[in-house]
Amino acid sequence: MTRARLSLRATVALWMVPTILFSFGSSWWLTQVNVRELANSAYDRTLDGALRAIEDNISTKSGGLGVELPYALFASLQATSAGTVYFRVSSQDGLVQIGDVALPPAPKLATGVPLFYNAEYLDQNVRIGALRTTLAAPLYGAAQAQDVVIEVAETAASRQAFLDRIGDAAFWRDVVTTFLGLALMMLGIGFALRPLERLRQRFDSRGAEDLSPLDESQLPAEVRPLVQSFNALLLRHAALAGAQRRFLDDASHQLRTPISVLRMQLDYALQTDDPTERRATLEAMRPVIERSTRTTSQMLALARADATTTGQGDPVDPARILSEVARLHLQSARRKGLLMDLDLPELSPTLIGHETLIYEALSNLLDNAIRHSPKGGTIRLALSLDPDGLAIDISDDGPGMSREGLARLGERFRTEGGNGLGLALVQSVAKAHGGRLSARNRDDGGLQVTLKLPQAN
Amino acid sequence: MRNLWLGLVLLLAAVLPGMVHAQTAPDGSATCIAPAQPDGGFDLTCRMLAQVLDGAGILPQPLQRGYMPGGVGAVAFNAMTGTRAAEGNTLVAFSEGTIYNLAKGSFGDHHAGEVRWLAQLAQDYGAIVVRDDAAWADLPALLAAMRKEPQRIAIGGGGTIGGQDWMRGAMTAELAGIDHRKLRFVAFEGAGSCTQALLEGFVQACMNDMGDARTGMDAGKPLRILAVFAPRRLPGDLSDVPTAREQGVPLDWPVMRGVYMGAHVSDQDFAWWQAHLARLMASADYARILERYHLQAKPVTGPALEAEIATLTQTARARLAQLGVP
Repeated sequence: MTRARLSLRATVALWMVPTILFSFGSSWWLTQVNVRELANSAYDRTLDGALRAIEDNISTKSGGLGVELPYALFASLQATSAGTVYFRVSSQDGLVQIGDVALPPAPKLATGVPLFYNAEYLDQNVRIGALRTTLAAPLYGAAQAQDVVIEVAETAASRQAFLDRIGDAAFWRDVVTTFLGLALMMLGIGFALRPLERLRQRFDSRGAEDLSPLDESQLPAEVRPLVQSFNALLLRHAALAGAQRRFLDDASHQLRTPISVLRMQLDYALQTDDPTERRATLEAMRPVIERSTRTTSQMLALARADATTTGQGDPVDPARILSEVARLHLQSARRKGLLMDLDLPELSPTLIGHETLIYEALSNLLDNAIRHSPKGGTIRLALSLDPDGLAIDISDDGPGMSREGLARLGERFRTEGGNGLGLALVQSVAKAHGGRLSARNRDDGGLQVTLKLPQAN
Repeated sequence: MRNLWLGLVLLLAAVLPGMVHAQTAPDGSATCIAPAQPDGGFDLTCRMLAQVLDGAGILPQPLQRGYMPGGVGAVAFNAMTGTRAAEGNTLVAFSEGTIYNLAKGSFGDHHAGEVRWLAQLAQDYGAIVVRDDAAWADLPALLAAMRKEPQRIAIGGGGTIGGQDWMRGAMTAELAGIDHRKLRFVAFEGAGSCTQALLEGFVQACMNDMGDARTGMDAGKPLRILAVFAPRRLPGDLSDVPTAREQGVPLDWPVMRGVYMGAHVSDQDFAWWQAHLARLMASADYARILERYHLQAKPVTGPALEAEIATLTQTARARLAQLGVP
């Protein structure tokens, strides 16, 4: 795409070249044609005048054909045309031929209608006006009056010089107006593009942290949508940056709290002399460490899920993962006396993704279900296929979630009894695989969480 | 047969002048027609004839003069062989150009034998005339200018291409080594029209004749005669004009000044005119009038004139063929 590298200015200029050439050429050509017509009609009128003057001066009174030639008119014609004037008067019967007898023969003429045409005489281009007229009386007793052809010619050099002069003037006029127009246009383009330059300066002068939207109200209409889109992008980036900041804050809090608890417990264990007390303290440290470990691994998984791009990975068998996850949590479920019901389809589907992430997500969901289930409750794990893909449902007999909790499902560090990372991780995994996480309080009590993932083609 | 009869009349006229006087003049007033615009050689012929006749007092009324331009004699010739063929008191001026045009067929479907050639009244010689403010002092200067830019110098003359004046110009050009087809020749109804165009600056030179040119100058026209196409300089006050031969163009161009009559003029009327003109041309008055019009005496009538015309016709045909005019 070479076009993309051209500046706007160059693109406009490039498009203007054929436009300008066309308008320039057509203007010049039209001038030539129009002026030629006008000049010919003006010059021909003077020739016509000479024809009529000769016609008026033809006399048959003597019985012969007398012609008084309008020399004064010829002289003024010659003076104005700076050329030579020729004439010929010839009778139809061929007896009379006066003037420039060697002029080229006249074309067929209608009586009384002057005809003007170009011809060559004495190696020069001449313009000839010819008029056929009928004598007032017949000569030498002929039955009817003879026709006489009058021709007046002038050298076309002055006419051509006039046309050339007009042509030159038109040419230079067009050159000047074209270049002036071009210069004005380039100036205009410069003015039109100035807001873009100012926009660039505004971006350049921005602080690195400044993600506030740009005021687009003063910008040209063409640029405004661009800046609006850019503002939307900025807003998304600002939101993401905010979320990341919150995540960092929360994560550091989440990690700092157990660490300070652990340090206090460790200090107490070191100070006490009572072995039983020390052991009890160390025992008390274990769940804290386990929880911190889980939180850390969840955060790492979350970070991994966040960094994953949709549509990549390897073929994964979700039924197998679900079975493994169920087996892994079987022990803790038993401790709470829970019944676990696993429902898998006969034909196992396949999806493209990251097995560890899906494993982690399902493990978190099942862990939540176990933790929130009352003793002796039932947990149902079901994998089903629908036209959109596959759905993994995990339901428990727990208290369910608050309305706000359902609305803000998967938001990080928003917790209803946990570290607030579990559902966030599942959410992130779902997104990373192009899927969706949803939850609802069942009508018969308990929570049903559904993870929908697209199936591999 | 007619020639024999004419010869008899001539004989009678010479031997018995008294008998001629006894014959009656044709009815009505006599007219001499110059078949061109005024002030040319034809006009000169009629003016001279009028002076001669009026001076002699043989006509009941002064000789009328008329003009009938059109094809340097073509229209008049058609009239005299048609509607006006029988007018016994109408004379039409002719020159050797008339014979050239007849030979070439310029007068239509006519030939020299159709009219009655009455008399050659005088002899003139062709001349090249320019305006007296022209840049060319002599014939070589004009020819040099023509050689350089043939289309810039318009040569005028009576008659069209193939006519006598054109032929004189074309032959002069050829003798000077100029292609006559490159010349600009402008045709006029006689020398008078050409002189007018010359004075108006429309043409640069006229193939006129000595008599009308000098007569025009006498009347105050600002002309300059560059050359006369005569074998040697003309006598008297015309001797200041150099011949074309002197200036390197070996061409003579004698010009006939005569009158003819209609095809059906009665023998009686024709004989009356012939007898009177022959007598008058021998008079001292006649010589004086010729001098006034700068013409040379050359009275020819009868068979001699017919022979002259036959010779001219042959010369014309030969020259036309030589110049490639159809």
